[in-house]
Amino acid sequence: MRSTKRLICMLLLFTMLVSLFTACGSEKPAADSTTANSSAAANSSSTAKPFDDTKINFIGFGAMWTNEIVANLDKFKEETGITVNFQQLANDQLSNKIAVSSAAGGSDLDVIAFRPLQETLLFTNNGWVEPLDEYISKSPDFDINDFFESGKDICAIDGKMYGIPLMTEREIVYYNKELFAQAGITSVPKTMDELMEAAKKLNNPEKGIAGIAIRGKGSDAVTQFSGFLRAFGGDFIVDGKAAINTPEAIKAFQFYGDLLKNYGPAGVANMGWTETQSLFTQGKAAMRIDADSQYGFALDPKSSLISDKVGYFVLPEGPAGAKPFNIVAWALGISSGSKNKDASWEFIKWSLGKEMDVKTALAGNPSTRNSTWTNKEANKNFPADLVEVINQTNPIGVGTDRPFMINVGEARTVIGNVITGAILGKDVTAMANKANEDFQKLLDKEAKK
Amino acid sequence: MILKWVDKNLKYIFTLPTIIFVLAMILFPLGYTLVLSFFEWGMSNSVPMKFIGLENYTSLFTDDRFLPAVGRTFYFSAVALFFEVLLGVSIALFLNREMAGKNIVKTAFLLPMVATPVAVGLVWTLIYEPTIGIANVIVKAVGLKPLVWLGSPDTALASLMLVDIWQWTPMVMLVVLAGISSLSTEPFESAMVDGATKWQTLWKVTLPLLRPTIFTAILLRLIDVLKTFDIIYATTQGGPGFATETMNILSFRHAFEYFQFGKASATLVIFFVIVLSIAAIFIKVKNKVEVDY
Repeated sequence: MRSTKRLICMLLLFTMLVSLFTACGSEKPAADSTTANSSAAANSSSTAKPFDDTKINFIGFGAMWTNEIVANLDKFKEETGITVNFQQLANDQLSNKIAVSSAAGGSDLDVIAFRPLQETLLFTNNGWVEPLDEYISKSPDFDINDFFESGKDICAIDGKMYGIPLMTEREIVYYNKELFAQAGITSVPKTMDELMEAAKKLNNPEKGIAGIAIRGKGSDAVTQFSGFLRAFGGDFIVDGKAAINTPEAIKAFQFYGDLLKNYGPAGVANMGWTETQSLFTQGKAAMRIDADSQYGFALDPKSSLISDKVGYFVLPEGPAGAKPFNIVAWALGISSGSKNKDASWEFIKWSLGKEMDVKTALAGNPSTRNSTWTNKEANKNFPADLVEVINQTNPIGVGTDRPFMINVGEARTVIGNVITGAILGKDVTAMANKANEDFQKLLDKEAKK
Repeated sequence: MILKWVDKNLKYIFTLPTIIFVLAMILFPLGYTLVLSFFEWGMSNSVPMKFIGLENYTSLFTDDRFLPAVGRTFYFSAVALFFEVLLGVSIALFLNREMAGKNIVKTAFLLPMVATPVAVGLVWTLIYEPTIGIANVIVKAVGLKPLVWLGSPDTALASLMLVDIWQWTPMVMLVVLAGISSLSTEPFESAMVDGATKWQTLWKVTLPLLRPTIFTAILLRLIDVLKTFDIIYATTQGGPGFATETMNILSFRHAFEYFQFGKASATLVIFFVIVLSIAAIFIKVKNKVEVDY
């Protein structure tokens, strides 16, 4: 009796241990074999598909660009043999995921999408992204000189390129033509005062319609606020010093706060771009200020009730002129821990190459290539009135929409807190003074490094 | 020979997986967090960790956001816990009777608890949406002024408490209900024989007998409610301003938005010590108060 019991125990233990070890072990040979394959494949580059059976992981964001690329992944596999495993995340989650994986070596990431203004400094500083110059010089067909100069600049540190620009974005005003007609507004606002005036006329809380909707949630709002800050003559950093409590900056905070406090939607202090977008597309906001790259959502009859009533105009001018941002919103890079760097470059070369760039432009992506913008055929799907606003914005656009620094996350929280405070009607001067002190401390800390 | 050895050490061998699991999943992260809290580190692969002693801790106490976050964590927990226990016990007592559709009601009460917290957060964001959400429709229907809920620092934290109460009252109810059904019938019979009213039975017999159960429910909820993260992150991420920034949210932002792992770890170490001491005090009190009948 006792011995059978013991036997059962032993068997149980044995199976447990065996399963434990096989579970641990099975991963390894598989990983080895893929690296072996890819290096073998790289050596025999004479075959038609040098990357047969190579798998790469690509993590990115949700946009029209992404949809078009994902729809064409099969074709890419046919051409190169590379299987792309795509994972889509929201902006902040994407950044978190890259950080966590990279800190752990980054071998589970190959191609990564990142926001150059937010992350180039951080990622290069931490050694998470691979310099691309060597790959670029090996690929003359890719024609790196075709990309906007400003776009390349923002992806480069100390003369080395760490990302390839993917998408540009400009700050514009969207408006609801029907609500404008109802309010008797015949011409679009040209100055900040006219913007305030129009928002006042359009605001109709009884019907649940806000005059204007812009981001009000602290750090999210900083990028949209940049256009106001500069229109009033201020900036985040002036001569290397924090400058968010200058008289100009305080005026801008006050204006942005008053605009949204008086004529913004209820609860705007907790809104990001998705919330203002749904209000606008549901006809609950007469105007909306955000990036032009989101126009597709407003025009899609499946998600928008006002798809046939959308108009656009250039961000109005303040005392210091009209200063909308015109930035490179996204770029592609290669994780420095990647085991498939050649295959990853192959993917970047394909997805941002001239041919695909025209395709994604047709799908609605504002390109970063000169050749695509001068190609009439590529831009035929953009609404004509939007192209006009883009063309007016391009020459006056400012290349950054947030303080360009390593710890931009914390800086955005500090500045965003003043924006939210202004919307909630708090003492802007006191908040701006305090925030400027904290902002300066962040800048000092980076200077020390 | 080997068999004999195995036989002798069977108790160790069988507990080994558990020990490995506890070491890897609980003790290691705890220890690592403690170590990190003495360093400055931005998750960098090229810039090594820098030992800075207690600086992370001292910097927290001069941080404008830390102490309010501590206060908020306790305020949120105390209010939510109070209502969860009050409502949970009341509903359990109410349901402890024969009535038609009792099981349906019980199941319905459990639904919020089984829903994924992030989904709950997203659904409540829609409910609370001031322009198109249903919360304001209801508020207006009963003749009150519409609120902005999560959009104002005055109401955001209270709105989140409401979500927590909605979601976790059923758990207290479930535990208490189980406690009631395990009570022996004798005390109730003798109370009836002695001519006690229903009210007297409730206060003098049922509740005292349920005391250990209620204490257990409070302890479980207390630890959970202090840790609340998901519904806050899914709705406000600590905003508007810093109005709903609890210790967990603050720590998350320090770590993954500002890449200051040391400061984030220091916050969590302080948090861990606080939660541990509260739980210890609570268990002491529980043991003292509990009497066998």
